[in-house]
Amino acid sequence: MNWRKYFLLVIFIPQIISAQYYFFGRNKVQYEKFNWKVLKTEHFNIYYYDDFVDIAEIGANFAEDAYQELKVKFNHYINNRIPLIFYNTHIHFQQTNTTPGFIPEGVGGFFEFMKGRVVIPYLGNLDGFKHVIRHELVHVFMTSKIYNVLTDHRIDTGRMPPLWFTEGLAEYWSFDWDTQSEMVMRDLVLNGNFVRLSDLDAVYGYVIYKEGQKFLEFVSEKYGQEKILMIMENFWRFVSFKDNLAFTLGDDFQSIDNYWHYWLQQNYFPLYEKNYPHFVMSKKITNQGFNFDPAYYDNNGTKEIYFLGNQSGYSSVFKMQYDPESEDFVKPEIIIEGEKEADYESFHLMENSMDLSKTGLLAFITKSLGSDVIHIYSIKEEEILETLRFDDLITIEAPCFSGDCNLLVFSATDRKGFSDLYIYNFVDLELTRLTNDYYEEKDPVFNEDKTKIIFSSDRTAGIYQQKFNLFSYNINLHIISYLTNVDANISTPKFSPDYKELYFTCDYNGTYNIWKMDYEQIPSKTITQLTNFVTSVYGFTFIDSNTLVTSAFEKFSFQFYNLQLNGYDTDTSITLTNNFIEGRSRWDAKKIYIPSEKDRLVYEHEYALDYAVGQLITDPVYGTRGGALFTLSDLLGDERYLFYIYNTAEVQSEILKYFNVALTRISLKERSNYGYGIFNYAGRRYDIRESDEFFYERVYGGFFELYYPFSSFQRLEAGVSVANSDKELVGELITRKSLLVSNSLSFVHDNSIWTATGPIDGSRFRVLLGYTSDIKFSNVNYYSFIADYRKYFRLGLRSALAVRSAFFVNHGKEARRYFAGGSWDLRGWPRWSIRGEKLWLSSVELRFPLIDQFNINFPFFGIGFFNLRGAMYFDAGSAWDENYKETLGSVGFGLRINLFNAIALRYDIGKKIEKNFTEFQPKLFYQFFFGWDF
Amino acid sequence: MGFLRKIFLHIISIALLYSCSQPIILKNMSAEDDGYFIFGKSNVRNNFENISITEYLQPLWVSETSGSQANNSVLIYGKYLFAADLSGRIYVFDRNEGKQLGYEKFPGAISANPVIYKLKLFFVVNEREEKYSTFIHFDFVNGKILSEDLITGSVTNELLLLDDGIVVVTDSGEIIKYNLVGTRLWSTKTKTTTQSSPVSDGKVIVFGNQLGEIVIVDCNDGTIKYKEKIADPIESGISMESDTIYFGDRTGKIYSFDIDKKKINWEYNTGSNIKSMPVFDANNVIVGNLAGKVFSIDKSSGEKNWMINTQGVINTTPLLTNSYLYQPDLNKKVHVINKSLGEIVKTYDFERRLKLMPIYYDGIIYLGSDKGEIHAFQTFKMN
Repeated sequence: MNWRKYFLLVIFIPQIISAQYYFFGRNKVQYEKFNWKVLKTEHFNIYYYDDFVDIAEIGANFAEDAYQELKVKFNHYINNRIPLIFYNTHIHFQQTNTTPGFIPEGVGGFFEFMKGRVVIPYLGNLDGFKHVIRHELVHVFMTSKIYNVLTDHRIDTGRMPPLWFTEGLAEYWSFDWDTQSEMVMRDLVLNGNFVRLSDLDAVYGYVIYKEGQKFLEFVSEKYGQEKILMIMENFWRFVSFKDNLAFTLGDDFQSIDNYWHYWLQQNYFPLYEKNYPHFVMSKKITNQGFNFDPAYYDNNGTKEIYFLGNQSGYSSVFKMQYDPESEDFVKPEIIIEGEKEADYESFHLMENSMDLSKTGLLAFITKSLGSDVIHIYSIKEEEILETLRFDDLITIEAPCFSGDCNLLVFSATDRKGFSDLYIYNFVDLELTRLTNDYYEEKDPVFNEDKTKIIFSSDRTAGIYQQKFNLFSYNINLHIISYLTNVDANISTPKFSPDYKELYFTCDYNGTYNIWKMDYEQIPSKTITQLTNFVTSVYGFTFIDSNTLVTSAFEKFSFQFYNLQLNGYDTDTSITLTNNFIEGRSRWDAKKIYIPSEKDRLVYEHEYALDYAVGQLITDPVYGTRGGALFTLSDLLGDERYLFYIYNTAEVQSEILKYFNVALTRISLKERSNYGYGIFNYAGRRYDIRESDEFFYERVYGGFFELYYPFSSFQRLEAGVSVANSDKELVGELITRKSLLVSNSLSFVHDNSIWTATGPIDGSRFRVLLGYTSDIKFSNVNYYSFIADYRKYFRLGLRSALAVRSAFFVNHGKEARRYFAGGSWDLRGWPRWSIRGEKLWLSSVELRFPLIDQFNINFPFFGIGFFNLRGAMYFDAGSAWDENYKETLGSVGFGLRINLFNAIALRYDIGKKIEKNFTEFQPKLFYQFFFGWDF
Repeated sequence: MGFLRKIFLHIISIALLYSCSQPIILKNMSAEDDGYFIFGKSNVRNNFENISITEYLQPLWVSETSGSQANNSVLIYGKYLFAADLSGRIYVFDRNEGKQLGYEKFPGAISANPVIYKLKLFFVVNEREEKYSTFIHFDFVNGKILSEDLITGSVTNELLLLDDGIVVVTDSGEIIKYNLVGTRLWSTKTKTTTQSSPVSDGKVIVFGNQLGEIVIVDCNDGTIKYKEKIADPIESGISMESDTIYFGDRTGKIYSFDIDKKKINWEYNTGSNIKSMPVFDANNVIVGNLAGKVFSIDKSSGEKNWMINTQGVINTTPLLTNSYLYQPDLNKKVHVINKSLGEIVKTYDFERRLKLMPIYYDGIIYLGSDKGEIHAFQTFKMN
């Protein structure tokens, strides 16, 4: 299976929170309009779209099989049909509205608890698809089982097992231990990064999946397989999961943890007898970020390595000098910086997605708008020569030039979800499809005379069914034949410089190592192992016939290593014999049997309640007020309704007068998102613009808003509202009537990347033009202009200089005032104390890391804090109505810390700059607030 | 003023407490009343009734307990029906009308059926936030706890009611015998996880464990007389017919085992984990598995008579009569199966998952579904 695709969610977690607040934020773009259909099976409603029917039916069969297995494992039955939503690629999956957040690369699916939805992309591989379906269904069963255990015992259902147990169980009961799992655990245990059970609750990311899975294997082996279900069935008994674990396993928690650690060491330490780490047998030549797809190029005598990485924080194409003798790590140079503009919206770091021709052409793949594209970059001319985009190809992987650079072979996924081989001819500009089936083809390379394509595929049939072996595609005869047929997975084939041998990675002995086969005599009877690293090699490039640069996994990082092949004793290497006799031409995936066409339906909106909250408040000043908020959305999250109602009447006779209601519909189905609604708001108000000004106001009307995203980074927003406003000043006989029409048009840009407490790189801005007028009484008439620009200059991996410049104008009759002051703008000045129809602000802030971790230990428990950040800042600004008043400012130092990945806590110390910027305040101010850095 | 307020609050509290609980005090009871005193009706636990009734079940009443039940059953004593639940309550109902007459609340869960002996209840409470359980001897005429004993770990296996005592098998494999006034007589530790309810012929106690062993213990002193691996992990209940026991294992095999000769008479693989207890009549053994399949096996040859796939989950022991098998299914159904032909003749759908083993008493079938719903159905004799 294409194991790289499912790996390391943890790398991308900071991107999730970049769905920002206030009026910036990246866009989740619905590039495609999906025509959804529903397949009804006995236990599932399968939602799929367009041409994805074949894989959807196979997936439905996987789901039903998993259901039958899991109902036995859990001793549980789920009586409602489970909604399973399939997307044909990860790119389409990222457009889902079933979750509001951005979905990073590496997320292979999720179970959404609110509506019990399972949402899964197909990544081109049926075995991987089966794994993810089973994984998510374990979540569904576990959640339902635990819920029932708690309700059976009449216990509050607001708790769940820790994430490591939840994810570990989903892995343990969904598939067998595989190469990737083995690699991660070897690395954790042998390199000292293993997290003890007692600390695992505080850890997120891929580690908990694998440690959780391995722990449950340990429980089965030492305590008995039945204990896993018993842990869930005893869940009612103890509030603490640790107490439950200790009780169920019949041991104290510390002893369990100790033995588990010992058991792992017992299993993994002996590996060092015959395997070695990368840092011992090869030389590490990078040490920052994660690095993939190295490609060597001799640039007129200058030795260069081109590669994909994320050393800068953005995934990009880099170049570095190849100098293995250097004692220091060579600093790479960015060639193409990704994730900042639509052409390079994202790189697929974990996939094979770059090749370098002998003539200095670089082919690399990025996501651009709604699909992947191939960019052809000239190293000599230092520019993109062309960008290849193909209408029906959604994702693209593994480009490879022919020797003469006239052809480019790659694998790509079409709308059916089929991952197949294609050739693009640069001469006649034609695209040719080579394969067309549901087997996954990957990592194609040309032979020397470009008559054959060697590729890795799970089309292996017979004794080693669905293993990834190497195949040869004869371009003239259109025949596919086995090159290898072994009981292992093989990927990334590359020819030796003289084309006499074929090198590749193979997971025969637990992790991916480099192997080779003779290519002069085909079919070759055997393949031979060259390296025996304890953790995997992801990819490699030849420097010469004896030297490779590898991309390898070690110490939870992907770095490059310089490897001399002549240092290995090939006589003692393992040799595997190809079993061509047992190879078959094809295997068939079983589809679900749907006896009735009435079980194949076009999707119609199925609405369900998302959220409902009601509240009743009584206070001595305003009396009793009550209200409720309901939100509804359809199963796919495309259409949403918000209904809001509350009343602030203090006496019964005022109920109608103080009635507030709003109804909004939002549509996210297509690229242009829109919302409209009607409202009636009435009640006593306080206008912050003028002190002590209370009034009664009733506003009713409607609005329409439109959002059009150009890409993930830029959008246009337009809004119009019509509102009748009747205002009565309290205690006075003054009334103001108006029929307000407001229009606004905004352009928003945001390509910033975030660390724990705020942006650290990129830029964002908003420009808004608006006009508000009273079309009936001419009581209100003003225009609005906002320009807010923020730029983040990266100084290091975790430090930046942030600059903000903003100008706000409302001008005209009864124009509203802006206000400033407080932790978010003019620090040190009282919150909202600076008011005016015109306002400018400017800030410069140096952001830097301070303390990565500190712990406070009490006698019975301890608390750990992470990522304490520092800031030095300078703010300036002013606000006025008609005549400019004075310039105000502040300087100081601050601390920031992220709490629970949900909010930043900020503490600032400084001095205000007063009296038109002429003197500092005599004492210091101290300000404490929650909120992200600007 | 403060003093009066205190008194008022006390009165309110007492009134609230009284209105929230109805202690079980059943006066004017006879110690000789008939009933259904133990899970499986007797210590050999065969839920077979020598009656011929139709497939038609007429609903009589539905009543509720606070929590759900495990896969056990209600108990009958005279005109009363007792039901324990997983929220630690024991309820008593009028068995003809379903009216709740009272309940007692304990801090934990009652996972195994209580047993009734001469106006007394014996049961085990799995305590919340504690690593022990409590064996309780309760007088339901006076609503009093007569004695208590702490047991290490959980008890989810069903209790045995012997002539001279009560037997408890804990989840960790400890066998404890109490006399009929709740005093511990002896205990024996097997140190193996046990999720298999024991049976007894009055001389020995027999149960299976997670090592796949059949354990035979002397009723008098707790001596282990036999402990050998026979099967894969045994998670089903056991039923007994003279020297033969029937049980299932995790891989789905059902066994007929001679405890006298210590040999397997036959085994049959049903293909999936067996949790429920096999039932038998004169000729056949019937058992269901978690894959939702129900099998009838010839008792003498071990050959399959028939198999039905209900598509649900069978983890509850059925009621077997001369005419039909009444098989609850976790998929909110009760299947009435013609035991000769192996055909489902009628399926009753419920709003909730079926949990309790159906029992027959005095013309009525009692069964239970999720969230503590107890159902009573009138049966009709076959012509």
